[in-house]
Amino acid sequence: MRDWERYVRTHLPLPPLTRERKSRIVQELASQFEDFYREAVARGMTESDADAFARAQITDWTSLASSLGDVESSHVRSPLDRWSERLDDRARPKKGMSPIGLLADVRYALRLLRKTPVFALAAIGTLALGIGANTTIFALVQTMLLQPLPYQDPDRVVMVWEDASAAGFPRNTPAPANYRDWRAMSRSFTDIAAATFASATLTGQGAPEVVLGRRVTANFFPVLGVQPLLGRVFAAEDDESGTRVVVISHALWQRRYGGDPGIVGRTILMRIDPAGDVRHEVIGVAPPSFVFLSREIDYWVPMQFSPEEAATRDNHYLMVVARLKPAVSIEAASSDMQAIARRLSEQYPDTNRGLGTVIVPIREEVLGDTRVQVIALMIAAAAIVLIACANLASLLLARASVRRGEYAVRLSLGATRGRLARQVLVEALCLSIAGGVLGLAIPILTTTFVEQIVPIGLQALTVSLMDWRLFAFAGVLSIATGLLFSVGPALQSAHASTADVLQQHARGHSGGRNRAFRDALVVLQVAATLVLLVAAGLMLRTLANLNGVERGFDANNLLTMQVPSMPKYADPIKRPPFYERIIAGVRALPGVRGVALGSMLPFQSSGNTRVFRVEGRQLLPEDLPDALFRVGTADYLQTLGVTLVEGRLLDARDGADAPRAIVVNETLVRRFMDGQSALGRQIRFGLTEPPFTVVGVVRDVLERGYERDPKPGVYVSQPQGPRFLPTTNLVVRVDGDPLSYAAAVQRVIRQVDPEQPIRQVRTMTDVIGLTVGDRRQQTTLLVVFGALALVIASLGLYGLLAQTVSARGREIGIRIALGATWRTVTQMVMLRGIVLTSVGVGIGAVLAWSVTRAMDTLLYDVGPTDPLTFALVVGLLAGVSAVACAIPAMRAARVDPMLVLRDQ
Amino acid sequence: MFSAELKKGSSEMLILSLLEARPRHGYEIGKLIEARSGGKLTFALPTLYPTLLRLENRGWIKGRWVEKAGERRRCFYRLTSEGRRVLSTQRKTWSAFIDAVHAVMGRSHA
Repeated sequence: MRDWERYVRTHLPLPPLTRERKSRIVQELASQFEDFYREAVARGMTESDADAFARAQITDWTSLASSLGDVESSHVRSPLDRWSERLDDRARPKKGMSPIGLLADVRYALRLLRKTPVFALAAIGTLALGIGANTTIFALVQTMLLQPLPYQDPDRVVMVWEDASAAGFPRNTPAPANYRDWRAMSRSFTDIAAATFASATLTGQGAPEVVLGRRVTANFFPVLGVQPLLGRVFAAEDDESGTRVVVISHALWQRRYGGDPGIVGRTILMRIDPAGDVRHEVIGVAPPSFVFLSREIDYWVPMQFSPEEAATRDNHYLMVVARLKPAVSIEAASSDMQAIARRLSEQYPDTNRGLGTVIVPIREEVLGDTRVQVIALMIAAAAIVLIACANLASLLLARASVRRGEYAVRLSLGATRGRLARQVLVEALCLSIAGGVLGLAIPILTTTFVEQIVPIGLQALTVSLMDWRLFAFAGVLSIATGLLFSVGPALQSAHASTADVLQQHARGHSGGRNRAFRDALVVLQVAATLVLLVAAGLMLRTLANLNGVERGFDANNLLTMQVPSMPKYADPIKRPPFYERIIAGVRALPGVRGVALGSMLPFQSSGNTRVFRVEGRQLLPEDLPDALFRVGTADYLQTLGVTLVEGRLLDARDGADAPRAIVVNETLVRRFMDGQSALGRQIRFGLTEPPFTVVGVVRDVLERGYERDPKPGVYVSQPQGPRFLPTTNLVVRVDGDPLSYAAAVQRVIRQVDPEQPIRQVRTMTDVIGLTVGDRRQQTTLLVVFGALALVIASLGLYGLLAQTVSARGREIGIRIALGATWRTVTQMVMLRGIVLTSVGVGIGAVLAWSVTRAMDTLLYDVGPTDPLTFALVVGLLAGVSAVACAIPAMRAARVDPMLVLRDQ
Repeated sequence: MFSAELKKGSSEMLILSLLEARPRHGYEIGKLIEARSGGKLTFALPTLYPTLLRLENRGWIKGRWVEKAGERRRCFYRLTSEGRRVLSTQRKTWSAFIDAVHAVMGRSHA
């Protein structure tokens, strides 16, 4: 017996076809040769005769090949066709029964969608935006709310603050002696650790670099339950002796030391304080995930309190973190600590009077208001998907009524209702899964923008396609959306009846149930859109309010940068000449109007205060004589552009040898001058320093940012200021764009001292922006969501009315023929749109009224039910829906009665 | 017996009608045409197979490889719903044509 396939293949000169087609043809021909051969054998031929008989069936191979080529080329099929054909083949059940198969449904759905590309693209696009927005917010929620903090048993880790509410510091950084007493006396914690800010200059290999770090007590890492990635963490001896050891961050290890595996035990050059040794031995590397209150920290060194520091009660600068004992609740620990605070305030009335404690779970400390923000965004994103679903359900319903004829035919041919419904579901799932796949691009593209919402105390947001949770979320959401928006239409199709066909062709209407359902969907869209727009509007007003607040200085055209104090200028004698050379150099640049250095710029710090006494004035029991204390070089206040109320500002006259002069703010005057002029009054800080004389009063500068209460504040000139307060913030007033001066200013500083590090080059507007930063991202997202919702919902409204107009074309034509005017027809169509919008707006307003209350903590100077915002949003929504209704209404009015009637 | 033109014009219809009752494979179709026409109509493989392929490409029939118990694997063609519709139209057209021809040639029984 012959290998017929080979025989055919060698004889048939087929034109170029796909391998699949070729083998199909070859197999089929070979199979028929085999049949001829077997028949011949069955009729009694010898094998060789049978073989010859079979071969005789085809003599002219060339002509056969060319006719096969013609047949094939006249049927050029698209890849999609081929794909769906393959699906079809696979879907067909083996026993040759009725073609019930999921893949067949998929294939059918793909074909239908290809026939209506505009619908398919609009639906996939809407879903991609909705699912993408939700996936993005999910990544945020994942990073901020779901992911555990990088500590062992993080729910038991708490921050312990001093409660100095009376002085305007409800969560104040504790003083060292208080921390030590707490640690000795409390019974609620397994241990209490302390940390404080530090910074250091790294030298040696590479350019000098200023890094932020922390001094920590030896139990810091054990309290958090963190193991080092390499090496060890601090032992009690490290804290007691004066050893120079350091644990570095994973980021620093990678960045500066190239991930050197031998880093532990290596000595690095790191100057932390002016007097100390620069050599530090690296004893460990923190794990990459480790973050405590700030992810910008690059090193940790032992606290090594000096005896004087350990006894300090009037200098508050620690961050205290503790681990609750297993069975102790926050409330129990709070009352334990309050009792300790009372005992300390009795024991040390001078420093601890009125001082309480606050215990804050670390997660709450880190998240603060951002939790509300993220939840608001989550609700907004969910609303988008809901609106998109309502819209698509409506579109599918519209298609369903067009396809009722088809359904009826299929029903009468024996399809079950369940099968029709399943077909609709499969179609919807094809759309929603395509949307989901496309939507995955959104979190990837928006990472850099969205990550700014993540508080600095958490690990940075990472969006990775490798993250299965992101995939799972997008996948589940796609399927859920698909099911959600197709349930209605699927039920609708299952209710189709064979009689429908006749009815529909006779009367041209689409059932009452269907219509009511689609109306409800439009109402839902309008309502959800209103809620989103109100939320976005409230946030916009908050930002506008914040920007409109009187800041007390002119923030425009100001360039700022940090010029960290270097150990070689720690000597107060060397410092002023260094500052003067920088100031002279910068002032000489063209376009520079003023330049100065200050200890703390506005919006940078809510603290840095000193206790003061107004000479000749009796302290009242409720008085808290604690003032923001700011030091600036000559013309500092002039450069900031503060508003002088009376007297004069500080300038070059107020040198080291001149009479000690001070400028105070209006809050200080209001609270401590008893209605008299402050000029000429004497103010004293500390017991030993000579007093200052008030030479000027200025409007309150928003030193503490927008949202903290104003405090008394004072300004003194750098030569007369305390030695311990370096003026490390350069501020330059310029003509035009401040950042265009950044390079020139930095060049000047490098000329003065090439080793001087420079940090945080920013405009003043950006410095302020950072304090409301996360709110700005959130507002932008809400506005984008709101706009998206508005577009989708108005398209939904438009689609519904447009479809009504075309479905009721005959009725409208008859009305016009019978004398209805342009006006009455337009009104008829618009009335439905207006009624639907109004109901939606009503429901939405009630919803928004209750939902926006949850946003209260995010708002500034605007109520959650701000009538103006509500009115503007309703107006906007009404305007947009009027346009959405007007277009179909106008089309209705243009219906030509003759055309419609002739059509019958 | 009949001219090639006449055969070619009718071959599609013949194949469709043979597939109406049940799916058949290519060899069976060729044999059936020969048998039912009493040997007056034969479609050799070089004619039959391109026709099958053309019908399939038009979506009127669909071939599928089936292995029946105790038999070789063969490609069975079945009539698609579109093919069924085409067949019924062709049948009507054909009988109308035949009637018309009879009427003209005067051999009508009516």
